[in-house]
Amino acid sequence: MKKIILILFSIVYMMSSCNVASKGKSDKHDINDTLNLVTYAKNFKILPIERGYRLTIKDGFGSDKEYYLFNDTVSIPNQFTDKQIIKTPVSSAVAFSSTQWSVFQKLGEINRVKGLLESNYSNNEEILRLVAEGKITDVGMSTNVNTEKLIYLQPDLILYTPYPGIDFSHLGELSGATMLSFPDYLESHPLGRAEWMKVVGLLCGKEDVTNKWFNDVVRRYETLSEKCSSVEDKPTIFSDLPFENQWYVPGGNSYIARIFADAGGDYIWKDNESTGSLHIDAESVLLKAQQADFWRVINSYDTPFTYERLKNENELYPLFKAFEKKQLLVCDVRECGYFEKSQYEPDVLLADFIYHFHPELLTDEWENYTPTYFKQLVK
Amino acid sequence: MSRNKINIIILISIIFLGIILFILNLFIGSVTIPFSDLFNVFFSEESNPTVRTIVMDYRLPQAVTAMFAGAALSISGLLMQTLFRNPLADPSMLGISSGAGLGVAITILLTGILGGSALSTMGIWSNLGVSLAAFVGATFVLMLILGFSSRLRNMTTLIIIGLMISYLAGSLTDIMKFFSMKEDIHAFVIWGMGSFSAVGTSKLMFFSISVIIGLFASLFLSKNLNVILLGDLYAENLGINVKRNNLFIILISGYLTAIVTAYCGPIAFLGLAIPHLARFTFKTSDHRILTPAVMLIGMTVSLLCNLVARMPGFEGNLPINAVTAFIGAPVVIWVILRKR
Repeated sequence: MKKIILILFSIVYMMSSCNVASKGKSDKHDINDTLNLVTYAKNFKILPIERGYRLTIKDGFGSDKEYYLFNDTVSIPNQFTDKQIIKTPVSSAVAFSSTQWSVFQKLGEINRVKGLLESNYSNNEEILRLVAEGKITDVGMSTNVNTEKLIYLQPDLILYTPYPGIDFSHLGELSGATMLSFPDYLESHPLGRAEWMKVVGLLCGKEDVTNKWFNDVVRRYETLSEKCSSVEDKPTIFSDLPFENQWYVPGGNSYIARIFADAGGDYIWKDNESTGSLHIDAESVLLKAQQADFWRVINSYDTPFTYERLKNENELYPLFKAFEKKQLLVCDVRECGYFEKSQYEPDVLLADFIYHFHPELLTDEWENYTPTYFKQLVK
Repeated sequence: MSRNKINIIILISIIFLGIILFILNLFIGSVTIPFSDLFNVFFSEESNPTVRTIVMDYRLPQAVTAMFAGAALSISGLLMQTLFRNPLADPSMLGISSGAGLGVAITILLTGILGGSALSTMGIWSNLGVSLAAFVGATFVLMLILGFSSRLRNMTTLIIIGLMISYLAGSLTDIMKFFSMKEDIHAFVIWGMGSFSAVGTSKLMFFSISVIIGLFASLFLSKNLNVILLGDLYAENLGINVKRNNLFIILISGYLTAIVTAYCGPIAFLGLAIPHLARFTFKTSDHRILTPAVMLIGMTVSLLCNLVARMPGFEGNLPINAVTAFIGAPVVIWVILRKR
């Protein structure tokens, strides 16, 4: 019996140490190659090689993955023939995440995408039309991929989002496709996440286009955050509604926390060191967030929020100052395509929050800007 | 006609039904394939390679997995029900499935902790993956239960201990999920839904042989199981070591549950319902008939569930757990009402 108790205790101890341990997760990166064409993202690098590129992806699950990309027209140098080769532009790809197909679409190359997941969660008209016409096949949900349909599509490439404990390699073996890991969500820097557009750019043979787009994003983002860096008066903000009475809030080193900070805001969990979502009980949320000036809220439903409706949903909401003062910043994700597009427009996201925090700082090319994603809920 | 003859006819019909369902499992799925293409896969050298992959590398291993998993869980349920003399006993009762769940939760969490840095250097962890974790968790609980059962005489007490371990493992799993980041529990959700497709061609041989060993062993238990129905005292008078007998039954039942849960996730209902279905169909409690009957009915019902889960029209595959009870419960009620 003593042994059992000992084992159980060690399990509990392991769990309690998990939050501390997870902080180092994305700090690690060993990108020191001077030729690397990637600047902000920590989980992939692109190196020019003879007649092509080497793409290295670090997803933390298993060893780093290396892909050698060559344009269809060039002959592949001998020393690379035994490597994992991707011929570009790819002619048929399956994209598991909307952050993947949205770049194909933005590049005007959506015809290269033959399959995707969860099309019913998107409001993207072109995608829904292509699915309805049968030009793109919906191959199920990320938790339940329809393997048969995937095999039947015979894609050259499957772009997947890796998660701990999930092995997708059998999909590659069965369909004959190259499996390309796309852990964009592990990037905690907004520009790092946006930089993943370069991977799709390479796959479409349009790396020049995505490089230019990305450089523009960087320029605009840095100009804006530079302006906000010296503000003294920083409004406080907290984030997210509870889901089934559980409050998950972004960690202090997360992507959105970084945007709050760069927009001259004061995120109330900024001192937390996690890059993922934190589970916090309602009392602590109330204690810490009650006096916050703003409340960022994501609405995944089709019907827009109103203060009245939210009040009926949870009687705690009116206790928050941000709610009382009607300072909810709401994004209707389906309407604005938040999950597909916003990660490639961190400058726009940043401008959204600056608009609410320090509107006077939106000058020059941002003059007369109105928010794209996060709008103040007025009634 | 004597009862024996009737039973033989029923047995043959079930085998026949099972074969038909097995073939349908190969022929029907979410991708509709013309019959001529299917025919070519089996009878012609020039078959469409894509169709061949779907049928031979995806549907076939899935059907075989469904068959063995169904048989294993049903036998495990029968052993539990007889051992505990309780019609509501099922394979999950001793906490073995919850132990498997705990194993999965620990691994996924470890993967989360070690994420970015250490894991890439110890790639073996991520490759061994979820099934191994589940198996280790299930075996750990099985060992605990065996330890307890060697000390306890009363099997009812063991049920209570089993349930407590089950709650304990469940609550530890929940606590871990609570402390995990949202992204990290994705794999747990998938595993928890249950699926016959996770075994795949590469692991199929290992899975099948492991299950067959357990099923084979259970065939030799029939006499010992019959004796249990008579009561412990009677059994001892017959010269049977009750304690060792019980231990062996728990071992086989737990082993079968552990194997199936590791590869397919926690699959509910089959283990509870199939033994009843067999008892009512064959009108007997003689395990020399019941054991093979439960195996065959388990295989057949499981193939039926797998077929329904992948019917064209359902976008994606329905989780197998959603289907087992939906198909099975009305069948059991119908059989009971008709036979009464």
